[in-house]
Amino acid sequence: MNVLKAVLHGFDEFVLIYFLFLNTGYLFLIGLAGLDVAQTIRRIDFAGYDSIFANPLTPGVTVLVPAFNEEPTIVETVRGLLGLRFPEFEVIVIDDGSTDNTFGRMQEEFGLVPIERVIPDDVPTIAPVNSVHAPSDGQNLLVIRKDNVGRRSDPMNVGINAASYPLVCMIDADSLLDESALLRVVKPFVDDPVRTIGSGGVIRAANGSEVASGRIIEPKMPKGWVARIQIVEYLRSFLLGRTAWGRMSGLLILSGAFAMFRRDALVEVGGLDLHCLGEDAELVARLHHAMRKEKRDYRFVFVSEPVCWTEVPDNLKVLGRQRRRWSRGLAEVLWKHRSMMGNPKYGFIGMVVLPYYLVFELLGAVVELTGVFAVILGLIVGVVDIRFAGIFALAAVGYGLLLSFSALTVEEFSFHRYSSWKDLGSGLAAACLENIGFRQLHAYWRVRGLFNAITSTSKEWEDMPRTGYDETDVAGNAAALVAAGAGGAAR
Amino acid sequence: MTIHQAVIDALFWVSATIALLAIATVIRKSVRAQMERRRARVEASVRPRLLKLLASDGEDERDLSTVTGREGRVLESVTASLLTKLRGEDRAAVVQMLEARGRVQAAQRAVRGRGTVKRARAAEFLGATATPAAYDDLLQLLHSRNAELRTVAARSLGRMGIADAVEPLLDTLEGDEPLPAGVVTMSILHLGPVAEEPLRELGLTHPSPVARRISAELLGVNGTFGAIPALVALSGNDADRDVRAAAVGALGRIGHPNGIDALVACVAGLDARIAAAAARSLGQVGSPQAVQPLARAVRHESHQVATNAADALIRLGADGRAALRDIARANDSASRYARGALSAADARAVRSGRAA
Repeated sequence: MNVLKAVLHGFDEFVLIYFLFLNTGYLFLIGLAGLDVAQTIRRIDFAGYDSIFANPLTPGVTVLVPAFNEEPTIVETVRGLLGLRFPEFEVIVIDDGSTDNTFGRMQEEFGLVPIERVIPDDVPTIAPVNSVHAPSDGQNLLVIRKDNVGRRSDPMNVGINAASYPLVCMIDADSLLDESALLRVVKPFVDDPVRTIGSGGVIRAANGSEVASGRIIEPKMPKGWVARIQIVEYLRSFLLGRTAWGRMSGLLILSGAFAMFRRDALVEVGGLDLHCLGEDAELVARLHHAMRKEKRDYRFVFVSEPVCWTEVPDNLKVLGRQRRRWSRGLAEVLWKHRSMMGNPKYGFIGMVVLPYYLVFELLGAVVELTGVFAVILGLIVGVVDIRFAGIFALAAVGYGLLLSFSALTVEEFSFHRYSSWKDLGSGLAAACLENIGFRQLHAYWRVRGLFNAITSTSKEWEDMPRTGYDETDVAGNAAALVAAGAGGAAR
Repeated sequence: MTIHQAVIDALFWVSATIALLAIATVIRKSVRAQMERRRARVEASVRPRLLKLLASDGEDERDLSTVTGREGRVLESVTASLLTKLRGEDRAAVVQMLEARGRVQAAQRAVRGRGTVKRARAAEFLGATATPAAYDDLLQLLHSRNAELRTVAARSLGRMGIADAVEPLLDTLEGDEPLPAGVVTMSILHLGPVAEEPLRELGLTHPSPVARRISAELLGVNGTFGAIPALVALSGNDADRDVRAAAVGALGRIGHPNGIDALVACVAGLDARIAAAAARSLGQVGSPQAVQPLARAVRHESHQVATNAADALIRLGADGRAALRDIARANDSASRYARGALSAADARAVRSGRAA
């Protein structure tokens, strides 16, 4: 019994130290990102985005939009994409066997007519292309219809094959991009065309925001707490976390919701993995793997200002499913690229980034969950006293709160996208709720995802139900849209 | 200190930090809102006076040059944001007003001063005003050890409209830390027609392949007829593949029949990338002489060559379409490219009722 108690006590102390390390690591990332964001903002005046727009030799971009049952949002998304500020680009929507009226909505809105098009097989795909459609008014849109095989990587690879331009931008069908988003993510390719192979922009939650003509005109906090908590979470992880990793040349994930790659690099590595759940992270890991193996000089860039707005799950059931999938995807990526882990040949990625993702991102949920149970158990059997429990709560919840508040502060001092006081209040409240309840539930979902990966149970490819955006009066908002664009330039 | 006390202390400090962060956030938001309102008010009073300056013959310039304090700062900021959008007399009037306010001179001092951001902002401003007196300072900045400053200097030199800037700009493409080609391209493009001669004389024979490539591209964008013989020579003889492809692309952009023979030779060549570029260029030139070479190129094993050749035939009009229809009748891989180009062209023509 004494041995068990000693083990339990030892484990509790280990968990405490683990939390201190984890949260200190996060705080370091937030601090680094704050610095980077401040530097970026100070340089916007002379960043030269207008030059990229005006340059007739700026490389063209193919925007790929895989769509499966996206009827509520697809027209809005495509309309927004076609209005992007960029000299030369095409939009390819890959209708991945939708069973709703996704294609019909696009056909009606854009006057699609069938065309023949030869699509090379530069990267592997599973389902054949059934038909190709183009708008009759000559807009730079192409719609490809294919059967669904239950994974996002297949339509994406079809799109890579069909892409006409040297740069490929992947976005989700419910994503709305800021008007100058493409200019911003292309800049690293223009500045350093030889070394840059991928860039990604920040993802923010669009729920509750005002939308007109496929563009966010007034970011607002959503009504439900599930989505509100994700706003804080996205801010901390997607904006600040990735900004910091990008600054350290350690980007492992460029979100599939908004990432740009050089097409030749994608073709070289065979496109997206057709069998991995975390296909976006896997792609970046594979590119790291291939480039480092061949000792090539390359870089990925994370751009903190261009914003891609996406609809996040607004209920726990769908959110849980999404997070299980993410956790499982991460496990698959780390397992697939385990040969890089701790291998000095792979530099910072192998020695720091992958071990960090394994210890703190993948296994963190297991430690967090078991830690909470162990401390409760320790209290019951008298191994730990109330003081220890207090320290533990402080390290886990108190420190977590500090991180969430830090993220909100950095946002307010930098991009300050949410203008109303009510939204700020909601954000602060969501930061509290995130650490008390949500975080533990999140850990549970992540553990289940990891368990699914280990036991190789069936993959969860289910789509996320979309509710669509609240389209405000387009005509009435035209002026606001212009103002939003002007504001974006000034920010 | 007991553990109990330590926990309480830690709890206090964490809570205090969280509270401080929340207070800082609230204060920041409040101050920003106040500043924005105040700026909007000042802008509203400054804008009409600025518009009056642009509409008049310059008499109000003196009036604006004496505006000081917050109003003066807002005026300068609004004016600076207008600089790149104005042309001709309007621009000259605004620059004159900024000179009268001492803003241009201050930027010249700042560009020689310290601090990367300060110097870069000043260089950007001087480029926007196209102040000839700042040329030497910007040239010096072009050799700075800081890549950011070099980039801004290159961009600003491009706005000066001085032909002498072409050579130093092209030279920045060489060395240990070359400037991005895109930045140099845009700078020289901004220089306008004055850059054509140095691009032809120095750029196309530059030792750096990147410099030759962007010179060829720029001569193509500018449509410089005089560069055709040199571009024809580059398209067939340059040791660098990128330069050859750029020369081929430039011949297409210029669109003069004198380039056709070289393009026909390239489209039939062994290098698929050059052949693809040549096919596209032949479509841009639009001569019936290109129909047969392009029809052969539709049967090329490279997807890109076949696609570009089929699209180019569409651009050649009735003869090109007829050739495509001939190819489409067969049941081979080339016929798919031909049918694809024809159907895409028909789709585009549906709305205008021009379907063939």
